[in-house]
Amino acid sequence: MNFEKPWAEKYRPATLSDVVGRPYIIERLQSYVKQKNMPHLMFTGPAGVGKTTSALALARDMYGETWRQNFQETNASDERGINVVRERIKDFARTMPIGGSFKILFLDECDALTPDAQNALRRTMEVYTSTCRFILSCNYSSKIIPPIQSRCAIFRFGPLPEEAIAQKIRMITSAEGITITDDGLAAILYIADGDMRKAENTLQAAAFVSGEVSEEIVYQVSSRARPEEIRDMVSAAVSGNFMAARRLLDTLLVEKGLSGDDVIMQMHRQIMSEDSLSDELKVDIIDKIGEHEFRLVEGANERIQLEALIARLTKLRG
Amino acid sequence: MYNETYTPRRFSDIHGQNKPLKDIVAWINTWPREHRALIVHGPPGSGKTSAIYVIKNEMHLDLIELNTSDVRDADAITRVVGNAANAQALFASRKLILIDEADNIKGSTDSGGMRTLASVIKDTQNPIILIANDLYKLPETVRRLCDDIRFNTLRAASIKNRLRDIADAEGLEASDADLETLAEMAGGDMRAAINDLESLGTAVTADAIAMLSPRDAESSIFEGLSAIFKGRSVACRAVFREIDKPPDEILYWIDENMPRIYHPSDVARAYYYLSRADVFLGRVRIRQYYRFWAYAMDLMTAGVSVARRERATFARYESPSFFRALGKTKLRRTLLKAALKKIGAKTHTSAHDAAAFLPLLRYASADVPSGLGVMSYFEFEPEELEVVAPATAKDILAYKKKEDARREREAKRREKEEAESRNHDTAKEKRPPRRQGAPAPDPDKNQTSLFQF
Repeated sequence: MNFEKPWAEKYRPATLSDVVGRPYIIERLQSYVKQKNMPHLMFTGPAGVGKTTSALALARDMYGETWRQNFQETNASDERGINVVRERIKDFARTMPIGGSFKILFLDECDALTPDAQNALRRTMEVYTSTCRFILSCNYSSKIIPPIQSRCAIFRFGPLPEEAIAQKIRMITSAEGITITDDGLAAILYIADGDMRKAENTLQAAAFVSGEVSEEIVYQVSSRARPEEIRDMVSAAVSGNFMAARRLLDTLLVEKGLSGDDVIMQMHRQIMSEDSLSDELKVDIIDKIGEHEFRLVEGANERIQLEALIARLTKLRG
Repeated sequence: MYNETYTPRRFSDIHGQNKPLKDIVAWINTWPREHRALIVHGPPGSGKTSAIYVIKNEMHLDLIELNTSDVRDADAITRVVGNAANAQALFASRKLILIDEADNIKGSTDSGGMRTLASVIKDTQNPIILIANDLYKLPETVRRLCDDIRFNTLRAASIKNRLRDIADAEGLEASDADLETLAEMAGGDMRAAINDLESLGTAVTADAIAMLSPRDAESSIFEGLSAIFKGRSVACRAVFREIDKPPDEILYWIDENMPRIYHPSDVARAYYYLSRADVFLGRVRIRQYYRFWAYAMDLMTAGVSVARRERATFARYESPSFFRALGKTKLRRTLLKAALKKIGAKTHTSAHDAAAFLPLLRYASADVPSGLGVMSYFEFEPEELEVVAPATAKDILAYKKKEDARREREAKRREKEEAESRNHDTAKEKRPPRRQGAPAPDPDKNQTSLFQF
């Protein structure tokens, strides 16, 4: 099998009517296309649930051929500071729209902006409203200052329903000429957890291993450990064997290529069902897990932090 | 000066370098040989120059020396080596030409030195020995004319034996343990150890030794680890001032070895400090505020050291495994960032979300041709591909080279064929010649294919 492009791109819906699992949102967006007008929008929700896809499809439907000239994507977190973002917005919004009365600027990851930066953004939005509409995308609307929220129509994108993902997966498998077993599909749905991008990436990676995608292959390629692997590591640590737990951790990080937050997230789930621990200890250790995940977010090293976390588990009974 | 007074004179004064010493003697005794010069190389204070002087004494050689205090331009080298060759007096002892610090012949003052050296070596009448710290600082033109013998770093035990000789000769009261400490501090440098012994005067005591300021030379990471794991105090911080490694690398060394050495009941406490140190390293990275390194270093050294309650076990130190040490270097982080940006650009994601594509790309690159597909779709540079698909990047790049070459050949062949059949056409149909450089019009192409089939 050859690699042409990620299936997440290849099968990204080109028009609003192809977007699955979001009937109400799509209906409202289509009404903007009909009216050739729209307010500022805010799309909130976790990764891979269709925020960017909906924005791109909206632009295509709205402008047709000229959508590229009238639509720009900017990432609030990737750029160096709000000033760079403002410059890019100004440059884009200053020029006249082609074949319409406004352009659309899609600003991704707005919750990465500090409140000060958001205030600056608010003024920029006001200045250019006549020629430019904003679609702000973020994980949590609560991180966006109220004055911006009040200027936007808010769309909440929850995790995609399983049936929507299953439908898409079946569509891709038949288009690509591969087969998927029932348990393989179930495994993909479990791993994706409402995230279409994750589902498509996992399916494509699995297809590189075999033309018949089974549960086993899905777990093999997914960046998620089997629950048993996490359980083994946690119990080695709890029984006081740090070195054994560390070897298991290395397997997960190095050989399986899991990220630190993947491991921590699964440890969190696992600790709760670890029968050998008292409830009091569980609560205590959840507090520690949270602390270490926080450190990862702050730029700490995942292996050192996970080792330290495992080392704490060795002390639980001692 | 002890170093002069106790310069070794006899073979028996040399400690710990018997093998290279014997090899040099054998080399001189078998001269003239194919290579008429010998490079003796090794770290400072390992006894290279001393060995040559001992050999001179024991073999009654006439040593003609050219060292850095002399000007070593082309003229000087020819003069010294030439004179040595010509002054063949009756009953004269055998001559040996010594060029010390040969790796320092360079720059404008020694202009032409290396070139002359090469030509002088080719037709010398006497054995020439070049001494250098680093063999590879000598130009290849010189190296290929020479044999070479290496002096390894002296072991502390050898240094201690020599210190014992000197202490006894000077009538110093020095315990074996103290001399051992001195020997260890020297890091394989005999000259340094002897200087240290002399600077202590008659007070060879542990306290006095502790006051000696550490030398500039890079202390080894092993000494640092020992200071952390064996002491139980904040004093170990000092050792790390002399270790020329970045804090994150030191962190990996401690991380790799501490749990092997500490009692299990101390591991969690030690990791508490180690992970706190790591938090500060992360803050340095995010804020580019390098003062935090100080807290990181103190926490990982002093913190881990004082976390120990039980006796530590002995274990050989292991270097951090390839993945951990190399996997997180700054270079790799930069490359990964660049790669994620490219992925993000193609997939409408931020660099953070783009990481979700990495496992897919690894699987897609497991197969070499499809790996090339990954590379061209995302427009990765070769170094970026190495980060995204470390296991197969090399094969993919080799394959790409082959494919590029094949495509180029094919393009050339097609061009040639087209040119040939065009000539063919023109001849047959007696068309007026086309304006030079004008692209072949399409109908023309159709006709050539008609002719071909």
